[in-house]
Amino acid sequence: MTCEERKELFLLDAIGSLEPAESETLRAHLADGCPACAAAAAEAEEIAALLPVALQQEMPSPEVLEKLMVQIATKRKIERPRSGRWLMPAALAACVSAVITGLAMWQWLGEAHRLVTMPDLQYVNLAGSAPQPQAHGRVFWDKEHQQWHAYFFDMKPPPPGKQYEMWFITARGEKLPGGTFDVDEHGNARLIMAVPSDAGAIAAAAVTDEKTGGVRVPAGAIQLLGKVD
Amino acid sequence: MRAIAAGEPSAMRQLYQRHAPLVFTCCQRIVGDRMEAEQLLLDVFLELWQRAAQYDAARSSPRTYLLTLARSRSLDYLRRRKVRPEIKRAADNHDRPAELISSPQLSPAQQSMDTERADLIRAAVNNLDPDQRRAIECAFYEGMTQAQVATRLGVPLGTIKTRLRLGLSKLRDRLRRLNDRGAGASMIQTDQIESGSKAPVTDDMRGA
Repeated sequence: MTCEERKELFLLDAIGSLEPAESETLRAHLADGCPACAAAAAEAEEIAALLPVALQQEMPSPEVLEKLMVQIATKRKIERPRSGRWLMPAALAACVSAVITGLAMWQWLGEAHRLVTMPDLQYVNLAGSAPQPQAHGRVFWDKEHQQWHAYFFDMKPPPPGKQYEMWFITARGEKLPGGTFDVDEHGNARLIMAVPSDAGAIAAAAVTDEKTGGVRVPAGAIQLLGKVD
Repeated sequence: MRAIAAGEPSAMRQLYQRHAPLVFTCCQRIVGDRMEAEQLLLDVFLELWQRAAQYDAARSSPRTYLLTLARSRSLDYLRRRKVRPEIKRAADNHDRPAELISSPQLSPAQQSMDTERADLIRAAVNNLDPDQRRAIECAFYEGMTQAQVATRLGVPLGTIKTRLRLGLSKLRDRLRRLNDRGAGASMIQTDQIESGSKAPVTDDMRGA
């Protein structure tokens, strides 16, 4: 087969109409580095990709973008916050400004997007422990508003009579309560906490299951845990 | 794309706002379900986010890259489900009011360029012989080989091969002419800026 003959086949291949063996033969030729066929193949792909342009475009729901922005925040690789820059209150529990649970996820995705696009983003990842390895979360430091924003995903509902409780563990090993929360029907929740001025360094953040209303000293099983690098 | 590869969420947002309607429309045309199409749309952009460092600007524009990915993932979804939606008549999606194509996230100038280009491309596709267009759409949107298209449409394989070759050749020639006239260049040039490519991929189209 000549390259001239192949050029016609690239169009057929670009719309997926060739048999797998025919397509494989073309790709093998491209892998050999034929520049004329590489140009023809690229042109064919561009032409095929124009077919959907001919469709009248539909708009996806705005929520898809917000969901995307939150998800890429959990997948991106950026520098972790440095020790010492994560300042921890001496009496964090008294400073909980809001505990928001059971809300539809979309209600706070917009806020999450603002957090993940902050120019000097600092956060700590939370990974699921043995009781629920699928669970995960992230705590953002909103320096502009002096708040911690914790997001939890894919968690199981807490056992009857229990709630989840957020903890911050200081470099000295103190375990400071950050507030209790439940999860919505999707296993998601958010917790917002104020950051007081007399903060100290923390080494880790964790979530345990505790009796409803929370406790002053953690006694339940660790559900989520994240260490500050 | 370079900014996305560097992990810039704002660049991702910008790319999404520009191409999401097109990618979503493609997914929805293939899977025939709005909710599934939105999930596929999300999956496509997440995959791009994770693989952005592997993107080759010299090989394809971001739009082509996204649509190739969207088509592939949508067809994969259909194969997993082993269901295939009824083929929508081209008129279902080609002849709707032009204002629906506008994307509120784009500037008026950008919208104008994109709308003009989409109108020209739509005309190029719609002016194909209906049998040729039908064969092309079966292959592209339903992932059918030439033999499967022949079976689906109940015509000899040789006829389908001829329809596909003629239809695609006409489409290529018409799109080349659009690019020669400059009417179709705006979106492609913008894509080159997005991709960071210094060598326009349309050179071959213009020069052929």
